[in-house]
Amino acid sequence: MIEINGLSKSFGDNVVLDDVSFTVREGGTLALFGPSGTGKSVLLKHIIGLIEPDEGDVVVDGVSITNANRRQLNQVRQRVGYVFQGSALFDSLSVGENIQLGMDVDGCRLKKKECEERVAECLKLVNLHESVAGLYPIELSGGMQKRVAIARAFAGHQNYLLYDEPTTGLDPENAFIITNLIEHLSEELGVTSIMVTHDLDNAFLVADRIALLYEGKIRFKGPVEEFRESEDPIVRRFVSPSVETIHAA
Amino acid sequence: MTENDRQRPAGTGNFIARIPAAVGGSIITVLRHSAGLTLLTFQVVLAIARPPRYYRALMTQMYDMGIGSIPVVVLVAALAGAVTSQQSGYQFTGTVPIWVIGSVVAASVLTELGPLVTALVLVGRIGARIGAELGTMVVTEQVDALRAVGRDPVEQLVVPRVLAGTLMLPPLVVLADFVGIAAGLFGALLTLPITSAEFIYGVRTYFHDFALWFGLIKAAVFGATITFIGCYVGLRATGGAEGVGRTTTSVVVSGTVAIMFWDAVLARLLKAFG
Ligand SMILES: Nc1ncnc2c1ncn2[C@@H]1O[C@H](COP(=O)(O)OP(=O)(O)OP(=O)(O)O)[C@@H](O)[C@H]1O
Ligand SMILES: [Mg+2]
Repeated sequence: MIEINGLSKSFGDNVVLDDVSFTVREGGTLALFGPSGTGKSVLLKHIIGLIEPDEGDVVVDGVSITNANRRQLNQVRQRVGYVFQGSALFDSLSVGENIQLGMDVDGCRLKKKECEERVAECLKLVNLHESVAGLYPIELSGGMQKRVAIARAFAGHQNYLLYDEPTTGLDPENAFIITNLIEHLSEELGVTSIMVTHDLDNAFLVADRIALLYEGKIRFKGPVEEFRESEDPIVRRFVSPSVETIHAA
Repeated sequence: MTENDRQRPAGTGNFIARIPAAVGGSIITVLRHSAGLTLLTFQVVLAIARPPRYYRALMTQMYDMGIGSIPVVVLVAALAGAVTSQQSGYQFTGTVPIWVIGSVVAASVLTELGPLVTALVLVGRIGARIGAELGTMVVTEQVDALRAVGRDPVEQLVVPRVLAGTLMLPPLVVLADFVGIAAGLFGALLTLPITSAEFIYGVRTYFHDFALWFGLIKAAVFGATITFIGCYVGLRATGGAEGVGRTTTSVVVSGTVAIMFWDAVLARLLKAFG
């Protein structure tokens, strides 16, 4: 379970998060929406302690991230896969080595052959050919890098996955494949996930709950149906942006 | 910040009034960096105790810093040795026995030029590159990604580089010493009325183990300093390409100053022990 309790964060005068709280239950998938620049990525980074909050706390699997020591934090991080918005692949390592880094602390504790098999398997799941393993990130397109980043995040059978815009920059077919993969990981393997996205249609397919971050606060949290039918003008602007809804808000 | 603050011109009128704040600000900056450097030192020392994790990266770095630096070190050491022998030749001819030139070249190359020139060249070659490399990794979130997969960036990035620098500078300095003295000999033979036997006699007369050891200790300290500063500054990079650019400049400037500082401090120690 991921619990976010009264999280606040400012950068100088810029208040990004203001008393944000929600929980993601075991095995649940939360889609996090919000306008560009509201702090979705900042929120996600708090969950694995890449950013320290000004106030509040994040608890993952019962471990308080703000009070965790280095060792506990690394243990949590190994159970949480993180897909960065900009992919953040290690450009001095090949695609295969990038994915192996996500597998376990020592890169790959398995035998070399099993390791390569797992890399090939992960690549296949994100619709990439296994020969891509030998390439370097610089040789890949943005969308391919994104998919490698996703493969790196789940390669170690992580229990938690945090996706920062996993389908942005992908063609509709690949976006669909990734959405299905996210669904598969959560339905069949019971992975608990948070997905930051602007892709409402795909999010509605996989998410069981929605949260809307707006001006530093959680404007809406609840099940998908409730979100779709909400009367809140801000929510309406998100569900069906049109000249009317934008003026109404 | 209010609208008024923002519009107030940064004129010279309040320049005097701003001095205390500027001094205070600089003191805070110095203290902040001292704290940051101390913290990184502790983290490096702790991480060195976990050798297998960074072994491969260490080998890569050692190869790169060691073998990769040979051409530039040889070139600069040769120039430094040749210039020293010629300069001392012009100044000493007729006043002292000619073999003294060999001693002067050996003394300057072993204690000063070898380590110092090598270090200054490598501030640019190694320090700036580490700064840019780590800086780019920070601004493209690769350092965050490393943390996200449960790795310690200090252990994975800083330790192999600092160790490699500390281990590789001494052999590079031995090479620089050798090349520097050899170039000094050639320079002298070409321009001065000296035989190689006289020159070598001069080198032998000066040479004592302590000078060589001292040069090597200095080299190790310089190697640690260059790589450490590169890592420290690189990991603090902010912004995009411009931030990385600032990083390289600041590594070269602070690295050069730090090398000069160590050189002065260690010269005192040489006096105390030598
Ligand atoms: N390290 C930082 N230092 C200062 N300000 C920051 C930092 N990181 C983020 N911010 C600020 O926090 C705010 C939220 O940024 P964030 O990247 O979380 O937005 P986002 O919701 O992910 O947007 P997008 O959908 O465009 O990715 C922005 O105003 C940004 O300028
Ligand atoms: Mg973002």
